[in-house]
Amino acid sequence: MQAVRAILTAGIGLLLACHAATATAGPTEGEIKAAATVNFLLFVRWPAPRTPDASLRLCTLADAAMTPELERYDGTTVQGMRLSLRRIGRDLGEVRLCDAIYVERHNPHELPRVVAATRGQPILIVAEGENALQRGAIVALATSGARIAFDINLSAARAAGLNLSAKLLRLARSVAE
Amino acid sequence: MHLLSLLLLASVLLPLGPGAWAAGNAPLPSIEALLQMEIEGAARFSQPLADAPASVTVIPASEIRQHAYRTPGEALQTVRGVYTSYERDYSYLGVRGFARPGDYNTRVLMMTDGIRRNDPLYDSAMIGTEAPIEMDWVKQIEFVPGPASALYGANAVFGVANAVLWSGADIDGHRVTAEAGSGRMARLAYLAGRRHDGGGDWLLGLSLQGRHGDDLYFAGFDAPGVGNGIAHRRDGERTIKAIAKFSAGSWRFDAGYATRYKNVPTGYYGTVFDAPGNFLNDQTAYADLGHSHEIATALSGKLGLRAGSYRYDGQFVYAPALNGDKASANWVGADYTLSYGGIAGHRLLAGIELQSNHQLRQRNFDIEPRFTYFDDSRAASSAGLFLQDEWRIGQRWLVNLGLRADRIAGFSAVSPRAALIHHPLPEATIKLIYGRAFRPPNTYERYYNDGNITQKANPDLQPERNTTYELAADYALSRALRLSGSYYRYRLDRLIDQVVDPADGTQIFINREAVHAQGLEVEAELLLGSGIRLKGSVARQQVRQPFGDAINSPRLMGKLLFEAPLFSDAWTVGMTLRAMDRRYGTAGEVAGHVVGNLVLRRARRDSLGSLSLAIYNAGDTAYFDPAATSVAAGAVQQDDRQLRLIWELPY
Repeated sequence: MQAVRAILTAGIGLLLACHAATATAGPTEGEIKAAATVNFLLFVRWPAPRTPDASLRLCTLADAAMTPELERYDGTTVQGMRLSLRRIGRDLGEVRLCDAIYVERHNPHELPRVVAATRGQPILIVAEGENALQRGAIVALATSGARIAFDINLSAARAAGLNLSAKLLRLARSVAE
Repeated sequence: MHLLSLLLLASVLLPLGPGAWAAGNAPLPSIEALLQMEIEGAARFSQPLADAPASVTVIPASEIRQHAYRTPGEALQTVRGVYTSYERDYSYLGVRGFARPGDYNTRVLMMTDGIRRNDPLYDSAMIGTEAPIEMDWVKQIEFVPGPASALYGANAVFGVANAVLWSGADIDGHRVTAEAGSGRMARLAYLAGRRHDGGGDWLLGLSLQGRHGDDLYFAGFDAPGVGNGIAHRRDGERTIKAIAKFSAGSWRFDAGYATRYKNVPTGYYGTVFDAPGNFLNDQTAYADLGHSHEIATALSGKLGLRAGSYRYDGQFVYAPALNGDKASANWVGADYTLSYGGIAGHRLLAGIELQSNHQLRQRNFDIEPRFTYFDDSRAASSAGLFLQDEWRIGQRWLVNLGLRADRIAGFSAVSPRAALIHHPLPEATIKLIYGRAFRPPNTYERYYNDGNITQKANPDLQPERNTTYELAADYALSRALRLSGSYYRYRLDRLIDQVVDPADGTQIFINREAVHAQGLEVEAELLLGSGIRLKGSVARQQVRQPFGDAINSPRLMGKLLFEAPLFSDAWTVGMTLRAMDRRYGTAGEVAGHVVGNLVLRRARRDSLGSLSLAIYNAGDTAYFDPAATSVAAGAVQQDDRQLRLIWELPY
């Protein structure tokens, strides 16, 4: 019981110390990944304009925790188009309306269904996780230590009819053909 | 106490203001800049439980709410091949045909936020109301069946359950929950949390629950001269649970406290039936500190320090005297994990884990007149070293190799695990696994005796070893349909089993001859438009043992889960159905059953909150679970139809 109390007190002290030493705000994993995802959209070329109102639709799934971080960029101009954030239902019925979709890694069953639902369509799948490329993502966002890194599956991009700029490929940790 | 100081802290932290990343049209940092930024916060400590979707089950908070799962056990009960048994003292978990009476869930590792929560005295995974967590603290529950000792050490034999809890950022405000239900049950809970842009994420939760319980009928006590078999409101319970989580920069801290007081009406262990005073009190407390840091490019380390305490206090009413049964465990531990991603295609993990159980004490004594039958105090320590490589080969293959060496209380174990994962299509996974897991005999099984009246010790018990082969597959046929299946075979050597010694009628734990088992599970999940979801599974298994029929081992189990919107967008209905084959109990066969729950839920409307009406055992089915030999009847009847109204107000 003493040890529990000791660590408890240490923790409270730690929190107060951290608060006292605020300094620069550190971004969370969600904030970095959200900003990275919006960035990816700058380097992708879709085959043809898909929407009459020239908006670029980035979708997240219903339960997604990262939606608030992505919503910060709602309305931003990307490649001359207005970025529009959409939350789509778990059944993925509206996935055809998306230009890009972000899949979190907390539930490994989501990505296979997204891949099955978007076959052959020009939809950029950005997914979290080390093995997301093997499981059908076009861009996989992973954490390498305390930083993020991303990998690209070029053949999956081509199969979807998407063109990825050379600059993006250069910054990727790895590019799979 | 410390609880109060934590709540005071909350009131101080809450008003603290906004920060660097403004809402709305935020400036977009460049990719180059983003790749250089260091992640802050608790996310650095998370590690996905499974390397592939095959055989993993994730139960998100939305599902927990839709079906009003009251305990982790109730949520796990919907997982294919998993079942629970309740004896009105604790809830017991059965996986892959194993749910031995007298075993306190020692073959499943239970974690919260990736930290081991099985106490070191009973090695028990507490999944019922005695669990150290409340379901409204849970972001999701992950369950992966199969051997995982190669990574986690002891007890990860048939599966690992991890409850990922909310962080302050997820709550971003306060939540109040009020519940009332059958058996004169009421619950009040408060949860608050926030992430501050100044760096710091905190979460605080408190939950109070009480239930008077109903009059329950026990046929075994319905006899002339004994009574009418009714235990008058002897099934009540009270729980108080609290949690605190903080993270800032590269540090994280969490602490929890839970206490449950339960009356036991079954007349177990030969106690006086329908007497007041047969109770169990279980208390758990824990505190953990973690630090994550970058050592070099692609090399990062995580340090963890933890301390825990478990107290058990039982009272048993006998005709001549009142018997007290107590146990306590205190432990501290440290662990360090290295993660290296510098070799292309490989993800290496290496770690060391140390734990010192500096007090493991068990006592049994008569309260009045005072007489001590048993007072045993000992210390034990454990050490584990593990190595894992996840090796991606090309676009379609992944090999996961793991090895762990453990030394626990004088026993040594080496647990290898190898998994080969193949994606014939990106949306399909085939997984082949070989793994060895172990579980050592715990202090209770080895040393507990109550003066050899009902139970005696067996210090010569040896650890169990399990070798499993498994083939699992997962395929998303379309956006609507997912199919999953697995086939496994395992051999369990030196199974630790509780038997009654015919010579003196006392219970004792012994090592048994090898047990062989195999099983097949299939699952399908359908998601249709407009929010309709249907998930069904069937699990067939067979445990073969040379020493009689396997107790509490159903050969066939079926599960069904259904969710759909009702009326308009506001209401949803959730239904779960479980079909259980007949099982052998310690005193004869226990009939099979089909039981269902129904929940009507009105999702959150900002000012009014959300409301759920849950009907557990909606069909009012009379059904039984097999029980340990401490219950003379060999089976305990489960609750009849129970109602609960749950109101939650986030603000």
